[in-house]
Amino acid sequence: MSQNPQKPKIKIEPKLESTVVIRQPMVRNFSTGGGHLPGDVLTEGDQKVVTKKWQGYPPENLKVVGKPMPPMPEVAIPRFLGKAEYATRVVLPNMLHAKAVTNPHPRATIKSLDTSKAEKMPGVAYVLTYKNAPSTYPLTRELNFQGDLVALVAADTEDLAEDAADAIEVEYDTLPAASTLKDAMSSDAPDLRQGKGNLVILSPNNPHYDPKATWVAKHGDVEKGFAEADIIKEFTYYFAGAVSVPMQPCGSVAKWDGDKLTFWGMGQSIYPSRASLAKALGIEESKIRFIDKYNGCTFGAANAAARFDPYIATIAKVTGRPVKLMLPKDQELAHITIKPENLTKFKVGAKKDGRIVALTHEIHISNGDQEAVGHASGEISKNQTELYTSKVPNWKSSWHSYKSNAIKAGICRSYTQQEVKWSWENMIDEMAEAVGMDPIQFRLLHVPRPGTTLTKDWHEDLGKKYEAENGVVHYDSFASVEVLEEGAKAIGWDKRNPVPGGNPGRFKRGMGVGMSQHHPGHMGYHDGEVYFEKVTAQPIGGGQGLFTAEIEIGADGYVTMRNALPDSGTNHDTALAALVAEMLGFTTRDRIRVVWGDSDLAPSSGTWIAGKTITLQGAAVCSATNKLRQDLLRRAADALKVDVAKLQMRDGVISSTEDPKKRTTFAELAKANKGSIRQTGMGVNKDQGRALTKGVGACFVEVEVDTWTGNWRFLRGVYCHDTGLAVNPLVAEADMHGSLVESFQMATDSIPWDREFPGTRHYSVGYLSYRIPTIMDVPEQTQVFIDSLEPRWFFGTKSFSETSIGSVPGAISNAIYNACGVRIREHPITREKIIAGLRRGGTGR
Amino acid sequence: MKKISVYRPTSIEEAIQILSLHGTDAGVYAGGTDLLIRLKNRLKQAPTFLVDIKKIGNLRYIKETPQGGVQIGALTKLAEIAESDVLAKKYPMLVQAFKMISSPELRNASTLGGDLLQEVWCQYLRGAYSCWRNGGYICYGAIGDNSYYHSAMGGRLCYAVYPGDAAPALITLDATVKIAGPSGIKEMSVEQLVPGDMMVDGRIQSHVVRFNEILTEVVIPPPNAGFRASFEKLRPRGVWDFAMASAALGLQLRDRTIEDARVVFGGIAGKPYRERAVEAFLKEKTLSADLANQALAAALANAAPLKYNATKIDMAKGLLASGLDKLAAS
Amino acid sequence: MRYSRRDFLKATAGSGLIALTTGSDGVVAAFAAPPVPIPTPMTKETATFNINGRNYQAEYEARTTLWEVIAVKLGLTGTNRSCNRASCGACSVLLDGTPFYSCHTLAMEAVGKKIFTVEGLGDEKNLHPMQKIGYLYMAADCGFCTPGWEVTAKGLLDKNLNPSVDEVKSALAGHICRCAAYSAIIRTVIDTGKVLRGEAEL
Repeated sequence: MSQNPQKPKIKIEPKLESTVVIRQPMVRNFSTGGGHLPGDVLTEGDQKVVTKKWQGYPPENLKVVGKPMPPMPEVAIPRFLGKAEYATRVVLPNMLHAKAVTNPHPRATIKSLDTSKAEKMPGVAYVLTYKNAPSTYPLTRELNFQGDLVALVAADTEDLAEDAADAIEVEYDTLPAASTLKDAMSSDAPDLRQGKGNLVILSPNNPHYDPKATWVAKHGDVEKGFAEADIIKEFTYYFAGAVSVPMQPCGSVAKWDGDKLTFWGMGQSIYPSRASLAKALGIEESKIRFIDKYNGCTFGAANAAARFDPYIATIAKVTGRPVKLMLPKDQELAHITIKPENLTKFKVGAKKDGRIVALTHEIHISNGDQEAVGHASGEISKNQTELYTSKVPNWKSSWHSYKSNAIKAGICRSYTQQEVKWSWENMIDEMAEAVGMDPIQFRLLHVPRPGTTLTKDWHEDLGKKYEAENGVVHYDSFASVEVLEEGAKAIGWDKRNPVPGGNPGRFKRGMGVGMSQHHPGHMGYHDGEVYFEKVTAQPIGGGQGLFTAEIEIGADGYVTMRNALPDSGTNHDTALAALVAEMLGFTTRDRIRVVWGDSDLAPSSGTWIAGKTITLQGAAVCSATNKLRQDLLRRAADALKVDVAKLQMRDGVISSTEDPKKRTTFAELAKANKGSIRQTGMGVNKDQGRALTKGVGACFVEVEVDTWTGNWRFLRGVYCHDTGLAVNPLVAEADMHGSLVESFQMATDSIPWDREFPGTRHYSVGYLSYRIPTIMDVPEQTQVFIDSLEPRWFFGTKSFSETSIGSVPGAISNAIYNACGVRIREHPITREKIIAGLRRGGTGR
Repeated sequence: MKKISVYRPTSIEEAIQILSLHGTDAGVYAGGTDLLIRLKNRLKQAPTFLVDIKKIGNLRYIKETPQGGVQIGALTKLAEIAESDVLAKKYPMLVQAFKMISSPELRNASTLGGDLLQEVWCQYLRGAYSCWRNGGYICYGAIGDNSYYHSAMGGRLCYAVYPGDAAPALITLDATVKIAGPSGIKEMSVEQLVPGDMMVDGRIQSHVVRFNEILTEVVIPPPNAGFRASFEKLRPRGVWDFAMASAALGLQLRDRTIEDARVVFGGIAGKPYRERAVEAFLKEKTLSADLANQALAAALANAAPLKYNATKIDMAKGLLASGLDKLAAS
Repeated sequence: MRYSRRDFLKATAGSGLIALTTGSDGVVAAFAAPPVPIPTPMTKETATFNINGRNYQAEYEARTTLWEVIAVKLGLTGTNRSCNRASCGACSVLLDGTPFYSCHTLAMEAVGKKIFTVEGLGDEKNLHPMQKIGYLYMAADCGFCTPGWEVTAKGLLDKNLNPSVDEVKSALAGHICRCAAYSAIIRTVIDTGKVLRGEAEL
């Protein structure tokens, strides 16, 4: 192939693939002076208090924040070189490999356990069971779910460890089990809670107490409301459970040097993980160096697999050799937390004009082997209830959480989202159809928007603990209208045939929408704020919600940011570095470096989940950077004999606004301070108050159904997000690609429970057992970023990593219904259900 | 994985001798892509003496015969078949089908012989349950969760479906195979090779190759002018996944008249299911857009779905209609 | 031992077997000669592995996978392992230019072949264009699948410097990216081709 020598070469540059950015008009007149102290109160033009936080420049003038750019090179480039330090890449001399023996029964006790043969096998160094597990972290003979840990074998190779694992002789006494939701709900269910009943019930003092449910909220009088309704419909939906599978095998490596432990973990925290490990081992936290720089995804789910960590550390101590665990997928998936199986019933009453006047929502959840209330009392589980009932005068929402012999429900890429919103998004579409309204119009009729208020009794009834003004909660920045309207434009909703299955021919296309309210990051308070002192005066719980950042200028003038957080593909340090660069007056990110993921190298931070990183580590980072900025200005003022107010800061140079020749640099100031100027900042939240701010997203889906075979394809997705100011649209676009595809998988591939043998899961053939979408399956995607500035946060940023993901499964279901008239109420969405529905009377041959 | 010992014979006789010595404790090892899963999952039925036949003379080739057909050595990689210009020209449907098998890396390793003789993918067997194929006397699929990997056309002992794509495609082309054993070389059709759910040497297999026999070659007769074929595979993803149902269709046409037909369904029965009723129906019919509808009436009348897999029949019929439709339009 | 067709037919006359064809040179039929002595099967051996142009010695069992030799025994940890069941592609390496799942390849198969892993693609001082472009295009979120597809893509580009989108998809179909960076990966591979062909520059 010849190349025209005159043709100029294409320049390879980072660019957004397909993202629409809608800038909401700047309604607030932010001061552009910069350098506000955390205590400063900024006011709008009409003297209304906007925020107590450092706001920076209007978005149009920002140099780094808001610009698409590749991630921090020290973080991202090792991924392409095969040098990113996942725990699975740690290989040490004389290392032992651990293999687990797990329980095959949904519920059993260990009758007898003989490891003598295994211990004598070639290459075996240690076998850990309930008999010799550490007293600070014991194993029990009671096994309450399939896959529960029975033994760990450590040997010279994985194969030898497996050989020995096979030679362990275990006898089980199997017990009656309640491993499915149906079993757990049944009045005949075996007693899993010492006579208390498998339904977890709150104390009678709790305002949401109900003797027959776990948690109940009500508002108005639903009976009265139904009496006034013109149309009443009832719906039942089922969600079969799902899980986010991390790519990296869950596991860890432990190595002792004397009484000091170096531990390479896999999770979402450094210091809290270290604290848990220290407690389990009965040693001081300072004796552990906890390292976790890179993970091949975690999704929150992998955190639970850290239960193996103390055993790995114990075996390493006892044998005097490093020990490594890499769980195979079939074993791993019993331990990572899942989105639970649940059954949801609705009764909805609406007027002829479409307004819902009464709604009951009843959800039953299989919570797994734990004594937790879980979803039932979780604040964020109620987000979708809030989204659709803020204008509904009469409603009741009852949650039922059952202990069961199943995998524990818990955080799993958007806790409580997809699994709860599956039913809501199907129901809203079905109700829209019942009242004869377009699904988007029906949503617009009901969802809150900026200016909507939740009255005191409303939000108290729902048990939300918002930061309220005179008891009333305002929706400030909430792009509910835009995510629907802009998304509709982007997908071409006007070309949608509103008649389900209405398009002619064998291949029928359809469009559907789903919506999701969630939180835009766990916003909280940073040091210096009054509320910070109040919150930190109370116990926070193992450093969970307290985040620290250290920002340092070195003698070379470069800025080093230290965050004790692992990166699971989240690339949060990239966004944080942009904030630092912006706040220090840089026009590029080039002078910012990050050090992360190691308790020896960065100060204590909590666990990142659910958008806590940009907004809580972000609070710590911005606080530290702000302090550093003030520090640099003061030093410069001293050095230059100029008033602080008459100084400007740009690209590492501080100069007088009146006489630019009067200047100094970050490097010079650092050198004058023994080579380094350093500041620390902190951020904290409690899951109340400001932490419960709201974000909203929507997903528009176009599918094509083959009515002859039941096959279907996900053609296009338009994914809309209430982003606040998206700090780095390139990283955000990539992140949202993953979010949509993962939620697509949640809709179609549930936990592979065996439908006939309860308590059994099939994971024996890797990702054939649990199918992750491949390059052949993913839709074309367009992101719509609505830059709806958050008035109470730095630069107006929100985190939106989890805002929209709950909308996708319902959107797909709605699109399939629109395409071919088959409504799937029982998750997961499968080709069998589509063709069965078509044969039953949807359109098709 | 299970401990193994590997023999590396350099002749067929040596290989057969070793297999004869060890009985069912030994197994032929070629690409190993099926075998390694069973060894990793530590199935009782997985052999621990592997007879690596890749060092044996010439078993890897795609050769045109003087008559215009082809001979394909059993050690030919699936990728070589999928990328063969010779085969693409003579048997485009075959190449299309092979391109849909597993994934590129697996096709680089898997061999034609291994694919034809593959074990079933039932989740119970693969999960090391003690079923008919793994040291036990029960079929969990018959009574269990049988939506994907189990037969909707009945069974006797083992209800798992034959999961392969190569066999249905080759049966449609009237291919035959050669099997070398202690008493010589046998020849049979691919259809005869995989009758499904057979007790051979004391174990349930989908195929009839004995413990000390080796599949050596596949022969495809020359393509006739007027022969058109299609292959459709329905599965959750566009790669890796086995067929929920598949349909291989071959029509010998004289203008628009169907002189002869081959209709083979995959993924719905313990063997590639040759639907002779539809073949008979199609004979002498005119290929047209509405032939599909009529043909369906004759299809799969013997269906015997299990609790969860009735939709396999609907899918298979839909795929047949789709294939006929495609051929009618071309 | 070789037997003629005539000998065989004499030997098997009346046996009811379908008639013999020899099929191809060297594939022989009957088995009337005395058995050859059977050697001891291999359970463990030591061999040389040529990885990215360098020779390494490793001892391995018959059952040891190539992944284990590369990433554990020899410490070339760039190649990850995720599913260990040939269902994800994290562990892909090239053997004589062709991609295989190293977790699903017995180590002995790679002896005498040229093995290529991600370490052979580039390093901190010399990034391969694919690595630079992948970085700029955000073709890796968590990066766990990255070495796998990079190696397969290198194999593709070595054979075809101008692949279409469909050709890239077909070549990389055996790689799961949980973070769904697929569209960025496709653009990376295509634009790497452009750079290598001299039509684009970094």
